[in-house]
This record gives sequence, C-alpha cells and structure tokens, in this order.
Amino acid sequence: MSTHAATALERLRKSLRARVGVTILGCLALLAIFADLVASDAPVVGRGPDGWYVLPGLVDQRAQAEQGGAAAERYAGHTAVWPLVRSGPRRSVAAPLEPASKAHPLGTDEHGRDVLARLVHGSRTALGVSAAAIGLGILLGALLGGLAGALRGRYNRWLERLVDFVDTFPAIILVAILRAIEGEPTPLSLVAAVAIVRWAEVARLVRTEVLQASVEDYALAARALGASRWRVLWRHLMPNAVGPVVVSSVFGVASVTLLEAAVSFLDMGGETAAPSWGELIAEAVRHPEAPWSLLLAPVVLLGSTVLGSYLLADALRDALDPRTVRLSREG
Amino acid sequence: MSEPLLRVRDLHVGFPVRRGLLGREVARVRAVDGVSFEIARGATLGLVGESGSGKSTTARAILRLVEPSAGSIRLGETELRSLGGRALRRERRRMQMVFQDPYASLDPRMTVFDAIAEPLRVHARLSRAELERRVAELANQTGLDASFLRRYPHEMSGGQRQRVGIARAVALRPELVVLDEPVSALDVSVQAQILNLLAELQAELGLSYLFVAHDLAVVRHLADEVAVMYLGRIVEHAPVDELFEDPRHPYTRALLSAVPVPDPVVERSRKRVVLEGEVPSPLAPPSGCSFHPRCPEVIVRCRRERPPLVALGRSPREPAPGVGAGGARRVACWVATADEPGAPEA
Repeated sequence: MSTHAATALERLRKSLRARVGVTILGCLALLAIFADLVASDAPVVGRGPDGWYVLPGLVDQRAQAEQGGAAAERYAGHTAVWPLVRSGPRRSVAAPLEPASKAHPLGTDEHGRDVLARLVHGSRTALGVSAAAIGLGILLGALLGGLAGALRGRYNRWLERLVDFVDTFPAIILVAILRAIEGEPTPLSLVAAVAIVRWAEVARLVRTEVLQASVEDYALAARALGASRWRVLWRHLMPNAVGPVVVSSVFGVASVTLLEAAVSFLDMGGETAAPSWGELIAEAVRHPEAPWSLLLAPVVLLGSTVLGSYLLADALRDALDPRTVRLSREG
Repeated sequence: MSEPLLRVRDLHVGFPVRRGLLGREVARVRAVDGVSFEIARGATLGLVGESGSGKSTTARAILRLVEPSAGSIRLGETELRSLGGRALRRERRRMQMVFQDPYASLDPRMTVFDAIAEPLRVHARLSRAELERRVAELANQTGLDASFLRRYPHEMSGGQRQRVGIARAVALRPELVVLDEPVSALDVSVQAQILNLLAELQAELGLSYLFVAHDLAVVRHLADEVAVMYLGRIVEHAPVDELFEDPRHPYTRALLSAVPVPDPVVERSRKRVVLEGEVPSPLAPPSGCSFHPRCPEVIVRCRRERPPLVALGRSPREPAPGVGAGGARRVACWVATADEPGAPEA
C-alpha cells in the first residue's frame, strides 16, 4: 500500500527474530490447518461402501456422525490413504496411559485417546480460538476506537471510561462467568470472553492514533478540501493505527493461547468437546506415573507458540517504528 | 467598483481556556478580535503579522476550519457562517488552502497522484482516465514532472512538495485560495520559484489570494493590498506600495525596518526601529492600544483608549485597481491619525 509497508517488510526480512517467529507460527498454523492429514480415524482418501471419498472425516456427514464409533472400520477392508496416525482426537482407542507404541507414537491419555492426535488437533483449538477472538476484538475495537477518535466530545470520554472499566476485568473471570451462563461449555465462550477484553486494548490504540493524527496538517488539509469526516477518518487517520494494532494482535496470540491452556487446565465448567494442550498438561499433573512425554509435548507446543508470537511481534514493533534505524546486524 | 469576492466583517475567534475537573471556562483567548476586510476578484490581500497575531487563525476561520465566534464571512453571495455539514463541504470547492509546512500537510501514505486527485475524487465524479488526464495536467501546470506522480512525499524536496500542495489546492478551480505562509518553510532559493508559480496560476486561473505571511518582503511581490495584524486586530491596511513607501503605524514601520533593502546606500543609512519584548499574551491584552507597551511613539492616550481603525484622507496615489475598501488606507493609531480631519477628538 505504501513505501512504509515496503520498508517494514524489508526490515522484517532482515530480522532474525521475525524469521524465527514466522517459521514457528507458520509451522503451527500448517499443523492446525492440516490436522486431519496428520491424525484422524478416517482416511485422507478412501473407498467407502458407496465409492471414493476425499477426507471423509470432514466431508462425509455420516462418517462425522459416527465419529465416536466405527468410522475407521467402514473403510477397513477398502483401499485407502491413511493419515500418519490412524486415530482421531476424540475416540478411545486403547487402554489409558499407554506408553508410546507404533500405533500411538506418543502413547494414550487417561481416557485411552491418542496423545499425538490430541496435540495436533489441540493446535487447531489454540490458534483457532486466538484468531477468532483477536479478529473479533480488532473489528469491535477499530469500530469503537475510530468512532471515539472521530466524534470526540462526549462519546470519546464515554469510551475512555468503558475501556478503563473493561480493563479491570481479567479475561479468565469473564470465561468463568460466560461458562456459568452457557451450561454446556464450548470454545465459543472463550472466544467471546477474549474478544470482550481485547477490543478495549485495540480501541485504545486506534483512538490514540486517530486523535494524534487528527491534529496533523494533512488531516486538516483533507478537511479543507471538503472531504467528509468519514473519508478523513478512513483514508487519513485509521491507517496510522494499523501498525500498533498488528503488533498488539501478534502479542495477543501468545496471551490468548496461554489463556486457552489455562482454562482447559483448570477444567472450568467441565470438559469441552475440543482437544486442548492445557487439558493434556492437567492430565500429566494428575497422573505422575504417566510417560514424561504427556507433559513435555504440550508444554513444548505451548512454549513455541508463545515464543513465536513474541519474536514476531517484537520484530514487527521495531520494523514498524519509523524512529528505529536499525537496518544492519539485526538479531 | 465591482463586487468583492470575499467580504469579512467584524470577525471574532475566541478559544476557551478550561480549568479544573469540570472543564469550566475560566477565560477566553481572543485570537481574532474584530477583523474586517475585502478581497476583489483576482486580487491578493497580504495578511502580515508576528506569530501570535492571529493571522493564521483569521485565515482558518474564513475557511471554517476553526469556528468563528462572531462576524460575517461572505464568499460572493454566500454567507459562509450560516453553512454547515454538506452545504459547507460543497462550498469548499470554491475556497482552498495551501499550507505552510509541505512536509506535514501531505499524507505520508499517499502518492503524489493520490494527493492531487483527492479533491477531484471528493467533489467530481470523474472516470479513471479523466482523473489521470486532469492530474497530469495539474502536475504540468505546477511544474511537476510526470515521474513524480508515483512518488511519496518523503522522496521529494520541500519545493516539490509545495508544488503538490498548490496543485491540490487549484485542482477544483477555486475562486479563493488561502496561502498560509506558503514559502516560509522553504529555502530562499526556492521561495522565488514558488512565488512566481503562484503569480502565474493567479493570472491563468483568475484566483483571488489571501496571502498570510510574517515576512513583509515575501508579500510585496504578490499582494495588491496589505493588512498588518497585531494581537488579533488589523492595525494598518493599505495598498502595497503605499504601505512600503509611507508606513503610518509604528508597528508597520518596525516590521518594515526589519526588511532588508537591496540598495546598500539606503540600507546603511536608514534608521532601524527595533522592537523590545515579545507579543503580549492575547489572554491578557494590554489596556488601550495593545501595541503601547512596545511602541516607541507611545502617548498617554494610547494606554487608556483603544484606537479605532480609521480611514485616512484620500491617499496621494490613485487606489490600485480592483482593490477593496475604496483603496483608502486605514490605520489604528492615535499618533498617526492625530492630524486627520475625520479622526476622533483627542
């Protein structure tokens, strides 16, 4: 869009932190997106009773409905390309807390479910919840923050109070409240809780940038040309907030992933259908006799998510800051 | 004489000073305190003063970029003060502005093309081809090479940026252009080029200029008339040559003595008036004539009563053609108007 973006990209490309961060987050994202190719109880491509299926676990409604049961058996006699691990994250496939074996490379958990499958699908939960919650927060925050910056006056002061108020609420308490209302716990309450907390931060950032830019001559010049308030806001003021919001959102991935793990670890409101790293850590804590990989594997994944997003966000912050002229020997 | 394009009557702009938790208004800064002038079609009025004199605020109030608290601003037949919202935005195509700082007044994220195209996009529905043709034409008119159109402001020099600012201001063929210190941020070598460009565009497009400057020398080339402002009021208003040859207000004389004269003999022999002190705060303006604490010719009356802006007797020269207010010069000073027949009794 502008040479500002081009300079930032150039700086990112030169930054080791950014490259490591992008690699880690990219691998995790690929793992989340293609979780069904790594671990599933349905084949990737298989011949079922009624002909050929591609990813029947996702596509075939019947197979999905039977997920708790005999999805794998339906394809057993036929030609099929199977994922690396032939177990889904939800079905018990063996005795509880089995050590690693050929069929279950990381063993099974306390319900006899495949640990690797749960880890892989857990990344989908972690990143999915992060992306949804942060996206929703940006939408809400940009809208309200932009309005406050543009309309000023009473609305601005009103928003300031609201942001301060929301900020005093820890997200985890909100999750507890929402789960209590919800009855049947789902990741949705987590997404909602995080979005409610995060929009305030985004709104604050957007509002600050908009207010700051609105006293610049170029904003006044646009008004003098006859541009409407909304045009000035959208074309001249809001673009200033893109950098800070991007940085804050990438940092946000780390905190949301940790929150999701914490909520599952604490087993708030009962077990959700979605597999989670936090839940595996909790199991490992409950069963000291279980193989050490039950604890280590989710901790490593959680740690690398946090590390990846911190590295990338930190590099982004420097790359987007026009005052830093660190171009060489970036580390 | 013909109907003036812009007629400003008794313009006031005040800014509230708020204190305390509840934001109570404790005082009012009178940035512009009863300013009146006219600009004829195709003419240029120079508005000169030190920083803090209210000249920029006057300019911005005329464009309704700051809200006037009283007075009347007529552009042609339209009373601008009664307009709001959409009607005001539509009227803005008739009056445009060139800003002082060509670095700050261009959006750093926009290419030169987008900056010049913005007024056209806002006011005129042009096809992409028409838009490109018009922007290229404007760039050509303001002396910008076509290769600049894809560049960003930070890749250009101050003079080039100011050309972009000027192209943007004349894009809609406005009637009035407010030039807010258009050259004071530029190198001296570039100033003349920009002033020449402004003069060419004025002749070509029939523009009227309100030229705001702190430097009298810069105004001289372009202006037909000059109004000198001090602490929110006009203290002297005269056709440009008369003002330079025979300044009547002590403040104008002080400003002029700061302008270098090209003739070394004159330059060496002339008397300098050096003002002491700073412009007083408009929050607490001095009693009487607000210039009296710094005035070398102050008399008792200056401390007590504020001198009105009065027309002096018909000046010896013929009024410049097309100049507002009958070309008569006006001064607000007890000393300068003491012998005038029409002056109030001392």
